[in-house]
Amino acid sequence: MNLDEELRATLLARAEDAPSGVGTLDAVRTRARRVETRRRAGLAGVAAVVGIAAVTGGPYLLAPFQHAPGLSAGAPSTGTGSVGSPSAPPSSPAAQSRQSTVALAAPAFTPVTFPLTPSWTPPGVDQPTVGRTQGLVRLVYLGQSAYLIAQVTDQLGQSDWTPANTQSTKVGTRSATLATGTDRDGKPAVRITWQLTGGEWVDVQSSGQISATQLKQYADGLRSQPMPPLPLPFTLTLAPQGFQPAYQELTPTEFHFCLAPPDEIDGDSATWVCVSHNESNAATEGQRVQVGPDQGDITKDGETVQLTVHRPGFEFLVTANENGSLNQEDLIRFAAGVAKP
Amino acid sequence: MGQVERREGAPVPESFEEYVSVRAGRLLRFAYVLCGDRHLAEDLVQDVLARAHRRWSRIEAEQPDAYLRKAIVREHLSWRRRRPATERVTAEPPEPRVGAPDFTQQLATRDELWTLLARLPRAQRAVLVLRFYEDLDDRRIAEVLGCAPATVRVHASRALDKLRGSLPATLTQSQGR
Repeated sequence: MNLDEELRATLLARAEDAPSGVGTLDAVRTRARRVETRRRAGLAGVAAVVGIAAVTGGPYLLAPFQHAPGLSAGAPSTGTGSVGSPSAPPSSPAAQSRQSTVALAAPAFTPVTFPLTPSWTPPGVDQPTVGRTQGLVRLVYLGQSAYLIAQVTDQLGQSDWTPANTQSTKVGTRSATLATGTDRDGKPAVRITWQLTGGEWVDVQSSGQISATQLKQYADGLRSQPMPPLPLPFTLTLAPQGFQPAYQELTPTEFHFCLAPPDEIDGDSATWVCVSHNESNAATEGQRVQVGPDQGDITKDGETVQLTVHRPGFEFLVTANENGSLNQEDLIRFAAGVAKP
Repeated sequence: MGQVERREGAPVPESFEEYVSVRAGRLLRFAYVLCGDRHLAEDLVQDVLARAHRRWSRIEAEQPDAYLRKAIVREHLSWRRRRPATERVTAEPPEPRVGAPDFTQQLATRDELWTLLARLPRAQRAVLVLRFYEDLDDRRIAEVLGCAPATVRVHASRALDKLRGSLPATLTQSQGR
């Protein structure tokens, strides 16, 4: 039995050890009542704050992520987001806004760049995009029936398919390993790996209609100089000051992009601020807010706060931790600055 | 009584109460292999169902199984449920099993695998559970996790790599599907 089969068998067997589910319905009913009670309490708190603002005519801010119709991103903010209601009693929790821990400023982050420059693209795939996950930067080429991923890494892992054939080869003057087989989607898979002078590994893999010869040609064409930054499929007018890209995935139809403090780009995502776009963005309803000229919806899932911006022709999400770097007002300001190039 | 056919899978019970009565066991099994802890699995499932209750008419009109599976995974990976220090590094101790002697080695391997799964980062374990327990392809796993398919492959590759590095070679030489 191989690892895949063993994993499947283990999970299926262990699933039988799960709780039986007896009493789940009663427990869920109790929790649902609690959820509803909290929700109503939150709405009541907001009504009180809106009432204060209406009476005084003065500015107001809501406690983070409480429900409020018409919260606007249009008003200027200090960037640290600490504009309290002068009319509300200081002790009123609903009138106090949590401060952002970072200011918003013109974006000055370093774009994610791939450390090698390709000189040739195999047929059947589109122009590449650069991705970054867990410290790994990679170049991704997608096509209708093939894809190619190139990455440079300190530690060379195994692929998630098992080579049927492995042989030695050369990439330029360097010794390399060429592996071929079938990947888990049943498509032909090719992988070439070799080491750079500094000890880092280059790992080039393809799936689908890219032959070993073509992948070798691609590998031979990688030059030892950083690739010029590729344009992002969106622009930002504001970004958390000092934050750098922690996560980036781009495809022709969607993107996911996160900024984080430099010391946390490979660490705790509680401080991250993310913007993403995909085809299912529109299916959201929550607290209605105004994001610049657009409507938005804020929803919460655990501590994750998600702002869906309903911009005609360009729906996107901004996601952050409820207790993360930006308060709600600044999160909305950040979102208002997201645009298509 | 009161069941409607869906595009995929078994008939889905109509009311929320019916759904929970019929499907709670399946959700709990999924949550348990996802997190490896019985109490946490119950907590996850009850939390997700309680929040789904208010919006059930909308959820029920779509595909509740997929919706709740995604909600359980997202809740498990959410910041709220992160331990303050690091990930859990140990699983529950393997339980004594009763079986024929022929299966002793197999059971030992599965116990070891279960323990190793508990040492994986949550996202990596989630990818393996969605791939091998739920039989989802990378595109659908990416939808559940809210990431790109390329990220799923990175998680899978790293997770399998860690497992291979800790298991006997006999388990790691074969085809990976």
